[in-house]
Amino acid sequence: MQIDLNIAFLLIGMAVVTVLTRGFFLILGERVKISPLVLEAIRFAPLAAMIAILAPEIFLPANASSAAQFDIHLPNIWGGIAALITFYFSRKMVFTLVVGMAVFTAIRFWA
Amino acid sequence: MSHSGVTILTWGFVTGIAMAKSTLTVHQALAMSLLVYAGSSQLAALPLIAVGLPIWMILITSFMVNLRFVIFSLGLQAHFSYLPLWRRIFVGYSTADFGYLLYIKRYPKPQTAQELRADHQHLRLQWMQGMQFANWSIWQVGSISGILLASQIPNSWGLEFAGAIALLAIIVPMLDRASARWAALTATVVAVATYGIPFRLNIVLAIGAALIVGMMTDRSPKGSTP
Repeated sequence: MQIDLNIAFLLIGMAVVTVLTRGFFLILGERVKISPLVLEAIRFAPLAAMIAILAPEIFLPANASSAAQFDIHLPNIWGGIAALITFYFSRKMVFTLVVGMAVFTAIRFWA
Repeated sequence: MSHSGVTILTWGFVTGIAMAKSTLTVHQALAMSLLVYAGSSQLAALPLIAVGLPIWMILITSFMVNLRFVIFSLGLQAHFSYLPLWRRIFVGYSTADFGYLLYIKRYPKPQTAQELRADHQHLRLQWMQGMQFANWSIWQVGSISGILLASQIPNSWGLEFAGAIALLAIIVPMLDRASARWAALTATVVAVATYGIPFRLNIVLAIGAALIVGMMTDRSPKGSTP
């Protein structure tokens, strides 16, 4: 129950984040001007945040506690690389998912 | 629109699969889909929820991932400044990527005060709301189908990896400039190398390092919009 309540707060909080970011300047109007430096940082921030979350998911095992657990035989790494190459050339989401999952699964059972 | 529709549907579907195969229950996944309505922020939050990161840290990360919408809202500001606050908030919440991109393509410039007075039916607003409703509905159909379908598939299939693949596919199109690729490489190395430090502060370090490297290697004119 404790965990459920936490998730409930989190989901409401994330909905509020959606409202605040999508409505940011619609809510504030023209009162706030944004400096070019901040605008520049904003361009890189989403990319940086997503990679910071994704990279350990790809390069480290689930439940890893440190970078020392890096292992070239991990299925995540090869599934990730396969998905990266497939999406780069095809730009097709479902196709990428199928290829990535296929390589991930093959390594998982073979290695 | 039909091409956009298929894209929204498949993205919703894959996001639904990822939510259902994360640590969330089916009900929580459905609530996330209906309430949060921001695919990249949902996909990014899933691994953080799985490791039990504090709520405020997940929210800050969500905010960072959603920052592109702040730029969108800057683009829409002058178009809808005549609306009362609650309607502007609603327009903002409902404006996902496709809604914004299609609107700005169709109406690059805001109406002048004179044009606005003549436009009694607020056709642009209606066009926008129609687009938003279509986007929301198609997204939810895809997402809920993904949740329900994936909940029937055993965990042993390893389908939770779908979330990582989807996130990867969001990131790839963002690597269109050298500076973005340098920032991405930096974030990858720092996030993995410092993974062991407490509270997943590796995320903070990786973002900080990537911002510095990205801005240092960026050669585009300062102040230009993405």
